[in-house]
Amino acid sequence: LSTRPAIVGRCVLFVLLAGWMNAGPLVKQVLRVKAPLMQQWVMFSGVSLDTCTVRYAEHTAEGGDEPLDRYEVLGVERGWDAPKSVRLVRTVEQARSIGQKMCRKLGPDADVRAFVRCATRTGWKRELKGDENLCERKK
Amino acid sequence: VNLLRRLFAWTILVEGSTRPAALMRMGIVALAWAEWSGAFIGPRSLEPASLLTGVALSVFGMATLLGLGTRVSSAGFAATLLAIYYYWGHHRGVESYVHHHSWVLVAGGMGVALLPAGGSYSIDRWWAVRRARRRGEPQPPESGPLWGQRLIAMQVSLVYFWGAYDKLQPGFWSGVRMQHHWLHYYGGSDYPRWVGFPWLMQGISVGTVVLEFAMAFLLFVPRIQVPLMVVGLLFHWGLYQLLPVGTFSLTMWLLYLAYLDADAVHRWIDGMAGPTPGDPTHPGGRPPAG
Repeated sequence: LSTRPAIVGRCVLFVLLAGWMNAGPLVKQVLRVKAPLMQQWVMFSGVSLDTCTVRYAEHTAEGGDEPLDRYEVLGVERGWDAPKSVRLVRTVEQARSIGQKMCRKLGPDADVRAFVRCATRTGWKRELKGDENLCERKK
Repeated sequence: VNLLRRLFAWTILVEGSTRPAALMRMGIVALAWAEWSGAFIGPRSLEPASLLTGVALSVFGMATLLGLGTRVSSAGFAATLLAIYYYWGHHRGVESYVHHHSWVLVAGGMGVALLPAGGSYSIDRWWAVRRARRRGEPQPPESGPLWGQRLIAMQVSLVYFWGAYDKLQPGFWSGVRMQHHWLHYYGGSDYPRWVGFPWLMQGISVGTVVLEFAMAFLLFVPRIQVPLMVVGLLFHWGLYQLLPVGTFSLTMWLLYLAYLDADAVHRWIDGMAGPTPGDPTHPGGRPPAG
């Protein structure tokens, strides 16, 4: 059986360590105080924010939009082995850059539009609504 | 007052089998080595601090794994993990060493150092048994104070509770943050066209929050902890398969041992034992060959 000093020692250590474990999330997550040495539990809360959804279309003379498959236009095979720069669009600039590559593939009269939404902590933010001719920038 | 007294007895005075502590002892070393030993390989850096960390990780780790001078070696091992987290991670700025999975390993290592983790499955135990036999004394019991086990369990519950708390925001609750993860890791930038994708993501999100809050508290309830652990094992297995979580899933699995009644684990392990091969006196044992 444990001696009294051992029990007192355990008590002190328990309170100190349990206090440290609990203080981290309380200070950082509730009080929002910057305390770099303390631990918080915010797993995966900051990842995947560099993610956008994209949809391309060719604007026709009649004013309509014909869907464009970026894989097909760029001659890239769809799937896991596709270059990540084509598969996952992380920024609006990257979406524009892909669109401009498609312009070059489609020829001088092409009119490529992009519909882009990018991730935020609260949802999706619409960045491009198809009202910008990406081919014009290169002309 | 009575409740406080019971809580004190449950946390500080608790004693029991050392087998779960011993299993965690071995598991934590294996996981910490998997996580960090590659970073502190001697010839890679001749900087004294790096060499010292590498040697400590290796020597204390080996002794802790084998249960050799476990009181000292496990304390040294925990100190090494703390040094990796605070000195290398925070002070020297190695970002990957201050991730949540790193702290769970550190907390596990500290908890093991506060337990009589050499009381079972160890060289210390082997020596203690030999010494007792030599002196004609009964074998020493595999038991000791288990307050460190309560600390480990508390840490695991804190991971769940605050992890769920962080997810209590519209972006996660609505399933949109899960959509981001799905597209980022799997789908790429083509938003899935199949019906039900947003609902599936929302279902997974809500389920995760509910499960994490439940795990934070209910893992302490003996009557339901085993089925809940099965759910937890599947949850962490899923995380391991779907996200780059490194050693986190296995560490959480391992530390579930801290919630269990240590004596019940001891009895369960005893109950698993079959007849000793080659022991004719044991029911079902085979006589020695030849």
